[in-house]
Amino acid sequence: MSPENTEKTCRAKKGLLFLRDCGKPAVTECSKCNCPVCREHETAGIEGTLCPQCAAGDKRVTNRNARRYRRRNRYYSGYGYHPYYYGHHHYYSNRDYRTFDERGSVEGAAPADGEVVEPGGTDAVDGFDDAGSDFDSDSDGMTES
Amino acid sequence: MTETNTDPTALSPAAQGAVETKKVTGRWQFAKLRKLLDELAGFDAITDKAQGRAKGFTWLFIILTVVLSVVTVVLQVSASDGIGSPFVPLLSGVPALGLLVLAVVFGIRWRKLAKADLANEFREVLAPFLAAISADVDPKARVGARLDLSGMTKDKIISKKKIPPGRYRKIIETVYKDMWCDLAIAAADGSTLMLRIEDISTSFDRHWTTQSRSGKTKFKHKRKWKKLVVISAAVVPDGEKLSWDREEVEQLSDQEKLKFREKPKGDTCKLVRKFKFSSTGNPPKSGVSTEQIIGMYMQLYSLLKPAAGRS
Repeated sequence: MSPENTEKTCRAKKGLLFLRDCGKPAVTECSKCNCPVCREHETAGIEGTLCPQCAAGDKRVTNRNARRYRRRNRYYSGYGYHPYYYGHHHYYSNRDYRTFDERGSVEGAAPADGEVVEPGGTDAVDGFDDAGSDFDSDSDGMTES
Repeated sequence: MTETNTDPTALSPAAQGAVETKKVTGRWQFAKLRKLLDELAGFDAITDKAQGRAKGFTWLFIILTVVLSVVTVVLQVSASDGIGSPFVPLLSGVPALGLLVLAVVFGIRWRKLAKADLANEFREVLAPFLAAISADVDPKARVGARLDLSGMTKDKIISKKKIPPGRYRKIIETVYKDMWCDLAIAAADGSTLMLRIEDISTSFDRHWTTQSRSGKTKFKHKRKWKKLVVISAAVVPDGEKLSWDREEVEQLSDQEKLKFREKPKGDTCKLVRKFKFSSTGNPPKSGVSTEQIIGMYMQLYSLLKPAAGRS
């Protein structure tokens, strides 16, 4: 890996219902798409290191990362689902349709470049108290006849 | 835990508590909840196998005891009639006694394992679901959980009645309602995912009589099961980032059981799907697959769009 890559972060897209950049320090680059990847997402391919997305596209690669991303792709194809991408990096895959939505994606609405979009944080926990009680107390809550 | 250990005391304290109460409740760190469920799943899988073996051996030893007891009685009668040695019945009587002891030992083991047995759905449906969405969950947040792992027990019977028997002598309908999963998960995008799974199982005990050729009346019984699994999946998105596409929601409401509610802490959309299963004898084993639950959340997420102020 070249010295300039040491400050790069992993751009493998993690998640299922929505996608985010991994964000961990990159240790190498995908030999196919040059996307920086961290130790966790570094995937051994037949012709060198791959990112999980490229590994998933190569049927000869059968390791855990490739299998996981392949399963994710199957979900997306099976349900015709296009997840939101909450990241900043423009390594588009064939799953990023929502990035180009008319009204703009969440990425488009993100703060200025370089500013990190913090995920839900611990505040999101507070949602449970309301959400949890919502299940019980609402007359037309979760209980169905 | 070792591969063959069915002793609950070998589990972690949290898992021991869960096995004892057959409940997992409270607010858990996602990773800890998954670890607990994985531990319980491993324990339950081993317990299920051991229970099956104990059941098999119990019945085997009961049958052998009965066979040897009959042989012993025949030999005893023969011996009392002066045919053969009077000690010959002991050759089958003593092993019969030994087999009876073994049947009792395995019977006790079977009963003990049955007491520690947990419902299988949590390891077949819930644990894989949590594994699948693990990358979407906020690791700092806590997961609200109310899980009932006891399965279909007598306290979950909501009705038991005779129904019109038709061509049968009588039919008893028993309905169990088991709301075994209630989860609220804080997602990393600020949304809250809520999941409720409810099993409504109905058994139909059909009793009828038949006449044998010799004119003897035989009483027969068969139990049929119907199971309805109701899955309610709801999403409360982070209103600052995402909002519901009302047109899409209305469109889908015509085809699916979809409810939209405006709430101060975020508008909620809840999707309810019902799945039917049936079986004869034992309750249906087939449940809902993890893929179907994920599909429901994907359906809900596909109704979200960037919040108006953020476009």
